[in-house]
Amino acid sequence: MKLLLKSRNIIKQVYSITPLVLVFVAVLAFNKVRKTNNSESGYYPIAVKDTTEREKSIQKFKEVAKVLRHPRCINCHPSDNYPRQGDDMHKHLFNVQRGNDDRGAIGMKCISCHGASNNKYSGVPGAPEPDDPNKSRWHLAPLSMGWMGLNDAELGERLLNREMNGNMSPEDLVKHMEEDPLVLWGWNPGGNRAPIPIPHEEFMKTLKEWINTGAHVPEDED
Amino acid sequence: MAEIRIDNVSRRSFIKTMGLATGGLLLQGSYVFASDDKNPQQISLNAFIRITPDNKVTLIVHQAEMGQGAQTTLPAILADELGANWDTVIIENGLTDPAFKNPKFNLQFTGNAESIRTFHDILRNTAASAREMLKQVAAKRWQVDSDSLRAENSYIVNQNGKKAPFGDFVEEAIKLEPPKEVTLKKPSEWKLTGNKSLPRVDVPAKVNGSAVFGIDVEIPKMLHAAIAMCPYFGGSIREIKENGVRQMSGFVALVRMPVVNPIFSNPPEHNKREGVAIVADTYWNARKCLDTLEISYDKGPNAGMDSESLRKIYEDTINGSTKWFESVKEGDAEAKIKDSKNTIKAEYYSAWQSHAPMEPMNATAHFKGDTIEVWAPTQGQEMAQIVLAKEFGIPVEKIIVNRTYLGGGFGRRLLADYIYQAVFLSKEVGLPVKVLWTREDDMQHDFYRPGTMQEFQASLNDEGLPEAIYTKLVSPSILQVVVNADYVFEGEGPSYPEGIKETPYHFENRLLHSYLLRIPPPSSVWRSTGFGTNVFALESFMDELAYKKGEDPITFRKRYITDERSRGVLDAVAKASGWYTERKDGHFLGIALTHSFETFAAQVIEISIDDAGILDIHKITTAVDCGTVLDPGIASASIESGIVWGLTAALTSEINFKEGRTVESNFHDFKILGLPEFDIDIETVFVNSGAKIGGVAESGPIPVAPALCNAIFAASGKRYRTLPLKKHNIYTRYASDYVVRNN
Amino acid sequence: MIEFKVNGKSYSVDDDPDTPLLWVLRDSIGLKGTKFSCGRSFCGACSIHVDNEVVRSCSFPVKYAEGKSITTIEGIGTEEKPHVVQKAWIEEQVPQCGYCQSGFIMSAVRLLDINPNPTDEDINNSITNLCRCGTYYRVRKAIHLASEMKKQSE
Repeated sequence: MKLLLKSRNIIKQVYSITPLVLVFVAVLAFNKVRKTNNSESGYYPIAVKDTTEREKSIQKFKEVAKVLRHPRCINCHPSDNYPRQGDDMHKHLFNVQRGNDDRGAIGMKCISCHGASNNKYSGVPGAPEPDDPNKSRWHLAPLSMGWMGLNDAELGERLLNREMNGNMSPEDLVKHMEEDPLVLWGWNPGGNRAPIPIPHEEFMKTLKEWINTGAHVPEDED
Repeated sequence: MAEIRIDNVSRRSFIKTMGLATGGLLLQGSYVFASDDKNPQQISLNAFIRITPDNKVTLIVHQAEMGQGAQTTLPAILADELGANWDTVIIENGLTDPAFKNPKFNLQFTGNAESIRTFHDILRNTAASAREMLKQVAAKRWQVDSDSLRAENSYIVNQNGKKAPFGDFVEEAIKLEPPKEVTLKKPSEWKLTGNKSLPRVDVPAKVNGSAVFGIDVEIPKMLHAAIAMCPYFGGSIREIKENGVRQMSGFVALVRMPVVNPIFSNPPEHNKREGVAIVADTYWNARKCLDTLEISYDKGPNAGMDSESLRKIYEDTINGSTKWFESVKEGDAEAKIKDSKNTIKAEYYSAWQSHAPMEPMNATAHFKGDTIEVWAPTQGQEMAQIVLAKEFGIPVEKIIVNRTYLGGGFGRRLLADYIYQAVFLSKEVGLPVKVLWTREDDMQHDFYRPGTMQEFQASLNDEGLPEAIYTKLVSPSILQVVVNADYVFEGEGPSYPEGIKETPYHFENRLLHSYLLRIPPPSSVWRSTGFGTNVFALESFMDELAYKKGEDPITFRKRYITDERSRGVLDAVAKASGWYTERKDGHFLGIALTHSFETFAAQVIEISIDDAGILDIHKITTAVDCGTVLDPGIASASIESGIVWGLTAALTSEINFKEGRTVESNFHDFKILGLPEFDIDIETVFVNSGAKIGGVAESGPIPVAPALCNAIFAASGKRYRTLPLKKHNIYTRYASDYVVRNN
Repeated sequence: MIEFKVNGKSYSVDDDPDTPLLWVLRDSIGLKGTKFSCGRSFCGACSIHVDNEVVRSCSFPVKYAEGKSITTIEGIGTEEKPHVVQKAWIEEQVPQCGYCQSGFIMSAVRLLDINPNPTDEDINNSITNLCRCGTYYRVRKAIHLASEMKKQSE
C-alpha cells in the first residue's frame, strides 16, 4: 500500500518520460483496486486507462465527497440509528430513530412529521416520491449506506459496492443523484438550512466525470 | 363517577353539540356555552354547595384544575364532611366569590401549593355547616335531637334507619342561620380522603378528547385573533407594512395594541410591550394575515442585554460593594468568617426558566359595554378581574371570569396579560374574540423564573464543622407582578429568599444578605417558587460541608436539623433508598432535604455517570411528610411530576437573552426531557406525621437538582454549581446534544 | 374541495389547501380533542392517524389528506366504550393537566397495533411526545398494562 502511494506521487514525473512505466503502474493500481474492492463486494472498476485518468478520477471523487459530506446529505446517511439535523449535524431531536425499515420507529415514522414538501408554517422539511407529488419520500439511507465518519476509501466503497449501496450500478448512482427528490432537496432545502454550495449541475458533471474516469477512490491512507 | 360541569354559578351550562353537518361541508364548533334555564332550581347553602329539591348535590370547585387534582380532592373533602354521595354529586367550576379568597392573600387564585393546605379546614367547616343546617331541619321535622341524625350518601338518616334526601330539607335549611360552631368529622370517619386514592374525576374526559381547555372554547359569533408582540424588552414597533392584509380571506381587523402585557402593579423594571393583532373569522386566517405583515422593531434601551451581561450583573452584585438587605442575622457570622483560617466558599447559579405549559396562552372574551365575560384557562381568576377593572374601567362585579381546564399552569397562568388582550380585541371589534398565542409567543413573552445566584461562605472549627455561615442571595423579584397592589418591593421581596431564609437547619452564627435585582426581563413565580433555586444552593453547600468534614451527608445534616419531621423524612428516605446498604457497582447516591410549603421532603437520587458525562438515573426515592396525605394516588403523581419538572430544569432547559430579547422560542431550543429519560424506578414514601397539612405540588421539584448534583459529586468528585447541567456537558443518553458528531 | 374521511365519516372542506390539518379538524370539523401546542412537529400534542399512520397534524397540510382516512382521539373510543389504551390510561391515572394526552394515546394505539408486546426500548423509540406535567412514567406503565389487557381480551 505504501508503495503504491509513493509511486503515485511520482507518476507525474514519469508520465512524460516512459509510457512503459506508466502501464506498469497502471496495472499495479488496477490490482490494488481489485484487492480492496474484491470480487466478494461485487465491484470491479469500469475501466482503467492510465494513471492520469486515475489522478483525475480521484480529484473528481474528492469533489463529489465534499458534497456527500455536506450536512444536507449526511443527515440522512448516518452510520448509526439516529438521523441528524441541522447544519451542525446534531442528533435528531426527541430521540428519533431509524427503525427497522429506515423509515422511523413504529408510530414515529419519518413521514409522521415530514411531508411531501417543505412545510412553510411548521418549518418541517419534506420531499415527494418521484411518482406521487402528494406522498412523502422522507426516509434514511440504509445503514449500509451510512457515510458518517468514513474516510475517502470507505466512502468510495460505500458508493460503489453494490452489496452496500442498495445494488446500484454506477449508472443507478448517477440517476439517484440526478433525480431522487430527496437528493435534489439538498440543493433547495428552504428555511435557514444551508444548501449544498456547489450547483447541482456542476455536481452531476463532476460525478459523471468521476465515474467515467474509472470511479477511482483514494486509498485508506488518504 | 361524579358528573362534571365546566359551567358555573351564573347558571350557564355547557352544551356539547356535534354532528351538525350542513351539506357534508362544515360543522359548527363543537363546544358552545349557552344559557340554560332547564336545570331545576339550585339552592345555594353556601358558595361551595348547592342542592336541588330533587336531591342533586352540586359541589363548586374554586381552584383551577391544572393537573394537580384540585377538581377531585377539593370536592371530595366537601362531600366527605357533608355526607354527600360521591357517585352522584355534580362538580362545577366556580367563578369568583369572596368565599373563594385565600385568606392569607385576600385573593382568589390557584398556586403556591395552597389548595389543600389552606382550604382543607375551610372546606370542612363549610360542608359541616351545611350538613348541620340540613340536620336541624330534619330534626325539627322528625321531632328528634339533631345530634342523633347523621348525613350519609346525600340523605339524612336517623337512629331507626329512617332517611330522607337532602333535597327535602334544603329549602328550609337556607333560612337558618349557619351554626357558629361545628364539630368536624374525625380523620377516621373520612371515607373519600385521608390515605384513599380516588380516581380523578377529570381523567375520563382527558383520555377521550372531550375535556374543554381554554383553546377549545366556542362562543356564538366568536372571532379569532393572532398577535405579534414586540420581542424586545423596552423596545417598540417601528413600522408595520400591511402587504394587502385587509384584502385577505377572513380578515376582520388589524388592531394596534399600545400595551399587551398589563399587570397588577407597575414596578420600575416592568417593560410594557406593544403589539399588533389580527382579528379574523378563523384562527388560521388570523395567523396567515399576521404572517403577511412585515413588522420592524426598535430594540430600545436594552438592546445590549444578553445572558453574559446579565450574569455579570449578578457577579458584580455578589462581589461589589452592594447595599445588602439583612434578611437573617444570628450571632456574628461575618466576624467569625473573617477571623477564621479555615473557610469554604461556593457560588451557585440557576438559569432563567420558562413555564412553557403545553397549552399556549389563550383566552376568549366578550366585551359587552358595561360588562365583560371571559373564558380562560387561568390560575388567577380574581387577578384577571382586577387587571380588567383597572384597564377598562368596569367594576369587578361586572366582570365574569369563567375558568376552563388549564393545559398546565406552573405559575404562568396567574397573570392576565393574554386575558386582557382578548377583552381589548373584543372591545375593538364588538364581538367575542378568542386570542391564541403560538408557542413562540408563549416562550418569548413569558414572565420567567429569574436566574438566581447564591454565594455561601462558612468558617470551620477544629473538627471541620461549620461555626458560621454567610450567604449572599441575588435575585429579581418573583412576586412583584402577581401582587394585587401598586406596591414596589424594596429591600427583600417576600418570596425570593424562600428556602434559604428559613431552613431546616440551625447554625449559631448565620448571616443572609439578599439583594433584589431590577433587570429588564420580566420575572414571576414558577413551579417551586423561590425554593427551587435556593434549596439547590443550600443543599449543595450542605453536601460540600459534609464532604469537607468527611462525614456521611445524612449524618451531617442530622447535626443541624431542628425538627423531628426532618429526621423522619431523612430516616424514611435512607431506608427506602438503601442509603446504608450495598448497591450496584458504579451506582452512587445523592440526597437533599427540603422544608417548603409546610411540607418536609427528603429525596435520594441513584445514578451512574461515565467519563463522557453520560448520566443514567436509576432510582429516585422521595420521603414526604405533608402532615396527612389526603389522596396518595394524586400526591404520588404530583411527586412524579415534580421530578420531571425538577430534572428538566437541572439538566437541559434554560432561557437565554441576546440583543435585548429572549433567544429560545420553542421545544427545539428550550429542551425538556422526554419519555425515554423516565425509565426510572420512582418510589415515594409518605410519612404521615399528622402535622398540619402541607402542600405537595410545588414541593416535588425542589430537592431534585441538589440531590442529583450531590449524586454526581459522589460518583465523579465533580461539583457542579451552575444549572442546567448541559452547561457542563452532562447529558442523558437520549439527549440530542451529546452524540459525538463524528463526521 | 378536499375530500377525506374522519373517524369513518366523509367530509369535504374548502379550506386553503396549505392549512394544517390540525386547524381543519379543530375549527372546520369541530373535533377539539386534537391539540395545538408547538406548531412545529416537536411535541406531538396534535398527533392523529392518517391511513393508520401517526401524523402530527400541525405539520400536515390538508391538501395531503385528499382521499385519506383520518382517525382522531374522538374516533378511538368513547367514555362508554373506551379503547383498551384509554382503559389502561384510566387505570393508571395517567393524565395530569391532560393537554398532551390525546397525542400520547394516538401514538400508543399505533405502537400496540403493530407491536402488541413492546419493550421499554420500543416504547422509548415510539413515544417521543412531550409532556410538561411529567406523566411519562405513567404513560410507560399504561402502555405495558394496555399490552397485557389486550392479550387477555384475545
